[in-house]
Amino acid sequence: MIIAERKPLTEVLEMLDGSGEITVLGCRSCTAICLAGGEKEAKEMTEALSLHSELKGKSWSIRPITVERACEKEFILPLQGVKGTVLSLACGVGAQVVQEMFPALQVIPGVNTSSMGAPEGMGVFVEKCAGCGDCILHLTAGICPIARCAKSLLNGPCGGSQNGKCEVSPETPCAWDQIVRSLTTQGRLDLLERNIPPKDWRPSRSGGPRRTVNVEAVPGDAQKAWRDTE
Amino acid sequence: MIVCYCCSRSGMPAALKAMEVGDMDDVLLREVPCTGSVERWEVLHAFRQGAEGVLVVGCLLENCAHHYGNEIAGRRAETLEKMLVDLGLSQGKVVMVHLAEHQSHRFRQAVEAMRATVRSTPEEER
Repeated sequence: MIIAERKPLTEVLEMLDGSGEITVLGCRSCTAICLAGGEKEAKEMTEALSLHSELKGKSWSIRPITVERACEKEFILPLQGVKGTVLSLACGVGAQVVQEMFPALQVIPGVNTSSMGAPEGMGVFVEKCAGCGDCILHLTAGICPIARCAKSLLNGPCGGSQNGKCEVSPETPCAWDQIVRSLTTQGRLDLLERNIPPKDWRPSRSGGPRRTVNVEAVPGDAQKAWRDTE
Repeated sequence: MIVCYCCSRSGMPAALKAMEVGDMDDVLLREVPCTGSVERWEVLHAFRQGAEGVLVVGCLLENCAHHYGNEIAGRRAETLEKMLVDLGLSQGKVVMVHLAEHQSHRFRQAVEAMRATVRSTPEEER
């Protein structure tokens, strides 16, 4: 899931200054899970902005719309006919897809999108994947050293690993400590003997926005064009 | 009007006893199964509907039948307090009260404290 957190209310109010018609967009997928931008949060933001508008005489017209997934065009059709400003509580992907679909709208981010991860406990969400495009989880007992090691080391821990914690923060477990423990449990410690070569970073962020094509799913002539590029 | 979200196990019995004594015409009770179930949007909506102050009245700490509903409610009240200030209201408009069902006097004290806060609020913010 994509992890996001709510922007401070003061920042949101500042961004909305000068708006008239405001639609608060909630998303029932990732941002709902991390309690930043689901249906409940959209309702809450609507009430908050309405209260502010009434107190300060701003005459804002505010309504919430929550969709299943703001990052897919089919799901944001309920926004057809919306005018003015959309305060998106969906992740950065959702906000951009909405902007792409409805260029006349002014889309404003209501959340800060931070990472890809998972809930670790109630209210705690931790980054698990950096989306590097060259997965090596089979060599590291299913624990990603790119995302979960502060230095993204590929062949064992650094000298700062102490008592299973990272030197960057005592709250952060050392990824390589976890990897070694996990490999021990699996009886695969021999994998530590295997040198992981320097990573090929080309599939990662370095080449600009990445595009993934499943040629089989591409319809018509476009499929041939994509096959030719393979 | 002071809106009180009262836990059915503690806050509501205490509030009902306090109401019997009288002088509570400006108090609106809303019974909830646990204060942890009171959502932020509900409280914000109450202010939009004319509430001058909100009390969230739940069980004593470590005495919640739902384990930590009252703790969540307390943290939520703190968040709401900050939100309301950002939105343009003055401080002290949302208060969490922890009490047991026989402590109707604590409910009354909380209502009186909220009345004092509301009275000290500029007219245009009420």
